[in-house]
Parts: sequence; C-alpha cells; structure tokens
Amino acid sequence: MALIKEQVVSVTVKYYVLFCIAADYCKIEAFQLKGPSDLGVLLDIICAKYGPQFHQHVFGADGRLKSTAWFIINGKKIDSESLFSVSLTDGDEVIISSPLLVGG
Amino acid sequence: MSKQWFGWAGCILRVNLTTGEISKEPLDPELARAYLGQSGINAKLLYDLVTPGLDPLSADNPLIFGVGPLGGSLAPCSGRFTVTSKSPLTGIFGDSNCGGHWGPELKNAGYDHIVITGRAEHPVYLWINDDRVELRDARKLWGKTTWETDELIRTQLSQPTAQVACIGPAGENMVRFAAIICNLARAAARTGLGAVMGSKNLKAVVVKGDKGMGVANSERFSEVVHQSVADIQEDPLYGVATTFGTTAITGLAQMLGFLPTRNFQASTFEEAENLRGEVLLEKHVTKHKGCFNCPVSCSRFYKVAEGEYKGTVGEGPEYESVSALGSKCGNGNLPSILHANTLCNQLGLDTISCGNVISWAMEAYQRKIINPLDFAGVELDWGNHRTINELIVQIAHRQGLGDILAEGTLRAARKLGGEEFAVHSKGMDYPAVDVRGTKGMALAFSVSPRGADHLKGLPLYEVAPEIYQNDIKTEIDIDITPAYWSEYNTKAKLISWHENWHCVVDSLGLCKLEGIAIKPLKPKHFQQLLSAATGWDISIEELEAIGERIWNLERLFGVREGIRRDDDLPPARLYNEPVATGPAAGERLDHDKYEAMLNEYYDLRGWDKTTGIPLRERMQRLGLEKELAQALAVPVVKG
Repeated sequence: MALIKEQVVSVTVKYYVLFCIAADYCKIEAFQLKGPSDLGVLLDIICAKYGPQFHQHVFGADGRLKSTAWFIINGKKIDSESLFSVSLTDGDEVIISSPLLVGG
Repeated sequence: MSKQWFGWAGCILRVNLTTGEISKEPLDPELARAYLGQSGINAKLLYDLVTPGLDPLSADNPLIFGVGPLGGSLAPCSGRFTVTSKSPLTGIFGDSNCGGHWGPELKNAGYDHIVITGRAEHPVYLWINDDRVELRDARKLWGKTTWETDELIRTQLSQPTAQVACIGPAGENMVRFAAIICNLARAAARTGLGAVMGSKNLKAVVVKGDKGMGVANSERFSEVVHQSVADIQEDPLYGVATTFGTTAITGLAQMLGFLPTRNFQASTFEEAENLRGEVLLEKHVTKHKGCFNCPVSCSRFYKVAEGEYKGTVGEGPEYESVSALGSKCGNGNLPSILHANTLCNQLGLDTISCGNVISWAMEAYQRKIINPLDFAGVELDWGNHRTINELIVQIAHRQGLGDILAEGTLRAARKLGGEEFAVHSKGMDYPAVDVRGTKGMALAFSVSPRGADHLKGLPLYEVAPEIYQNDIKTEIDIDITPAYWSEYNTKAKLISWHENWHCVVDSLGLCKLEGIAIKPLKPKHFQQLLSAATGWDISIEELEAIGERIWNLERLFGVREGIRRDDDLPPARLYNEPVATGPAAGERLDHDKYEAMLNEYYDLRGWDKTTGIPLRERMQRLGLEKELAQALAVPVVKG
C-alpha cells in the first residue's frame, strides 16, 4: 500500500501595530499547516495561541471580522469577503495589520 | 477689549522690532467672519503686509503667530497654533502648524495674533504676560540650543510654566528650513520660518497668560465637546493612534510600497523592520505624551538605553522624521534616528527637509556629483548614520558641506548639480509618501500653496477607503473602488474637499490628526463646536466656503510671486522612473492622466486651465476680487 504523505504548508506571519502587541510583541513567526491550509485555519491557530486579546482585535463582539483587520498575502491585500477561504501555499508571507492615517 | 468676544480673545498684538514699538488693536469682527482665525487670519494679514518680490529674510517680512477661536478651549485637540510668513525656503506663502501648549497660552494671555515686523539691533526675546508685553535682551541666549533656551528663559523669568517658542542655532544662522520649537519637541518646522525669526534677531516668543477664555453657550459647548471626545474614542483606529501615533505608518508604508527610500529611488526599504513603530514602542518609548487637551496623546518620550547612541532622550519621532532621517537616507539604525531627531529639535531644524537634503546629497555622491575631497572627506554612502548626525550639526552651524545644504535641496542642487533628482514641489521637499502609487496625494503635494506638503490636502480616505467608504459617500459623494488609491478619477474632487476643510480646521485651532484627515471629527463637529463657542449662527456650507476662501488667498499669494500651472506638476523622477520593487512595482505617474486630473482640479477650483490663475468669477464669489487684482498687477519674473 502506498503511503500518502501529509502535505505541510510553511508560512510566515508578520504582526503589525496592535496585532504585534497582542502577540506579545512578536513581529514575525513561522507556522506549519498540516491538512487544510487556508487563511481561516491559520487565523484559528493564531487566535488560539494568543488568546482573547488577539481575537478581539480581529473580530467584533458580533463575531464578524473587524474592518480594521487587514490581511496581506505576499504584498496583496485580501478582500474581506473571501478572506477565510483564501488558500495558502508553501512560502507565503502573511501580514496582519491595521490601516492607518498618514501624517506626522 | 475682549469682553464682547467669545472664542476669540479679540486682540491683535503688533511688535516692531526695529523701533521697539508695541501696540494692541481689536480684532476686526469682519476679518474673523471671513477668515475664522489662526492660519486663515494669519494668511490675510500676511497677504496685506507683503509686497511681491520681498526678500523673506529682510526686515520687512512679517512673522505672524495665530491661534484660532477654538484654540485653548475644552474642544478636544485644541492645542494648535500657526506661524505664517513669506518662506525663505520657497519664496512663496509659508506657514507651519504646531501643537503643544504655546497656542492655548497665547489665548490665555488675551491675544489671537501677534504680528512681528522689523529687525532688532541685537538678539531679543518677546515676553508676553497678559497685558504686560516687553522685549528683553537675548544676547546671552544667542548660540544656545532650543532646550537650553527654553530652560534659561523660564528660569530667568521665574515662570516655570511659561510657554517658550524659540529658535536654535539653525534659525540664528538662517538655515532655510529652520524650525521654531516649543515644549522642546513640538515644531513649527515646514517652510523654514525659524530662519525668518533668526533674521529678525528674535530668539524666542514667551507667553504666560491667566485670563482664560469664554464661550457663548457653555452648556451646549460642553455637550458638543463630550460628543466629540466620544466620537474620537470610538473611532476604529483610536487604539492605533493612541498607542503608536504616526509611527505605526512605517510598517504600513513598507507593506503597501510607499516608503520613500534612498531619495525616492525605491519605495520599499530592506531594513524597514528595524524602523517600525512596534520596535520603537518596545525598545525605546518610556511614556506617552499629549498636547493640550488631547484625548489621543499620540506622542511619546523615548530613551536609548544602550549602544553608540546611549543616553539619547527626546520626544517623538513622527513617521515623517523616521522616514526622512531613516529610509530616505538608507538608514536602518533606529537609535541613530532618535539621536538625529533630538539633534534637529535642539538645533531647530525641520526633520523632513533636513533628511531630504541629506538624502539628496547621498545620491549626488552616489552619482559622483559631490566629491568628498571637496568637503573634508565627508562619507556620504547610503545608511551612514554617523554622517547623517554630523551633517545635521554642520547644517545648523553652516559649516563645510552643511553650509550648502543649509540652503535647501533645490538651491544646493542648482549650485552643485543634480536638480533632476531633487524631489520637491515649489522648492519644498517631499514628505514621506512615494506618490507614484497614490495619485491623489501626487495632486495634493503638487498644488499645495506652500510646496510639497502632506498636511494641507492630505486625503487620508485614499489609503484606507474601505474603512471610510460610508463617510466618503456621505461627505463627498464619491463611490470608491477596491483599487481606489491608484486611480486618477475623482481625486480632484477628493483633494479640493480636503483642502477646504483642512483650511477650516487649521483656522479653528484644532489638530488634523483627529479632524478630517482621519475620520472622528467631521464638518458637523466643527460647525457645532464653533457655533456653541462663539455664538455664531453659521452653517456647514458657510464654513466650507471660508475654507475655500483661505485656500484661494494662499494661491493668490503664490500667483503674485509668479506661481503658475507648471509649478503644479510633480517632480520629474516620479514620472520617469517606475517603482522598481515591492507592492507598487511598475507604478509611476502618467503624464497625460496627471494633466487631466489637474484640469479637473482647476475646473473645480474655478482656476484658468492654461495658467493656473484663479478666475475672476470665483474670486468675486469668495470676496477676493481686490486680492486677485493685486496678484495680476505684478509682472511675472521667474527665477
């Protein structure tokens, strides 16, 4: 019987702004996803790791994704409508950030 | 004099440094109705006092300080003041807006504006303590840093809570981008008005006031203030603003590909991770700090605890300073940037123009236009943070290469060569946005009456459209698309709306971080706050019309000095060189599309499309016929 090798997807996550603080000042972190490898799965793992303080920056009290949570994969911002089903591939870089004012 | 006024103090102070004459005059209610206050009235006073062609560093160039009708009140973020003069950097309209506590103190002392003319025989400072106003000897202060000056004056006066707006050596030496500093780190920096102060032998303007201010309807005012504060605190980005201030932008700029790098040769920086606001917060921030009556407190105190720059302390830096002294110079050493920021504040320099002129010099060195042997072997390789800090000192003291750079990027380029990569508009250095990817900002930076500028017309809605899409629709009636920021369509409308309202905010005395540039405070807040504070019956439409009047007056100042359509075009580099790497790779400004956007802007403004001169019909409507006639009476001589 042939062995079916489980697919592993390695991605890098960068935490920006309040997400960085919520992730204990972690700025960059590697994850290995086994099995389904979409953004929704990754987000579940991250929220489980960093707990409610991280979760509340991503989701509102109604459970919906906050408009201030931006996800950028390989430099391209992901539309919130399709966010959770976006597939991740080996080597992807995911940035979690808020938008911000320009000024100073 | 001031009893009939609510909001305003009702008094203009005039000081002639040549004769020593000091006089007070009542604020004209018609002037206030037409220009509100602070930057608006400053602009009108300047327009009437300056003759075309006047040397900005001559005694006749007035230096005007102003605070708005909401300045110093309980309205949130009401700690601003504006300094206005003809700019020694650009030769056109110059003003700079500043936070801290100086502005409210001027209102407390009973003044809305100070008009300073002439030149003192020797260094002096102006001391204002309510009705007592005097010029005091500052010869022993000349040569001191802003930090030393602030401390010495308050000690000398035995007034520990007096507010000091002063210049450092850069202003004394008339560096064309010298700043006026108050509270050690709040800077009226852009357009080089510190040099005007230095040219007048005026070291500082010091204020202490105990008069307070009145509002017309205190109950209603309190109600609107509470609502305004609540709206600020409920804004989705409030947490980001109050935690990081503008330094959160660094990561975003890198992520989206608009972080100017190596004098705009790139728009992403390989060492940007070192410069992020998160790193600053974790490693160096000791405490958060706010300006007068601010519920955000976006500023921060910092300290470098170890390494080469150990012992450096200061406040800030803003994103603009991080980019100017960092990525623009290829410098990824954050402690060195904090040190450079502190140096600029102590010596009294605009961090933006200072960083830009150094980055220009580094590119001139890269292209072998500057030979280090001509300048005592200065090492101008990208990222050399020691050179950056040495040059800041040299610029302030006009030593060596610093003497040439002290003239600003454009003049330095004209002297040494390399004008094609001087990234400026109307002679003022570009802020920290690579506008090849953000077309609206390209327009905003180019048409600003004071030169390249991120504060006059900043269209924040352009970079975070989905957060503010409902507001964009409601306020400006623009439907946005997912790729809105890279489009040209509707940007003229977006920019002109922002410009008008930013004129209003700057004239009321509020901070733009929370007003218009970012969502929380909107036109309805300004109308309600102003109405309750002053007792005026004024509509939102009338307020916007005042903003439009101020914008056009500032334009007419430029027209009178020879500004035309050609001056409203972005620098050549942004047309000719596409972004090489990063998310905005391949982006550049399209000449035809930019020109079409500019035409649309002129149409909206009621300006002539060939010349860029405001047309008579619109000026009549705004009550600026006389000013237009004056502007057109001057023959155009362009340098």
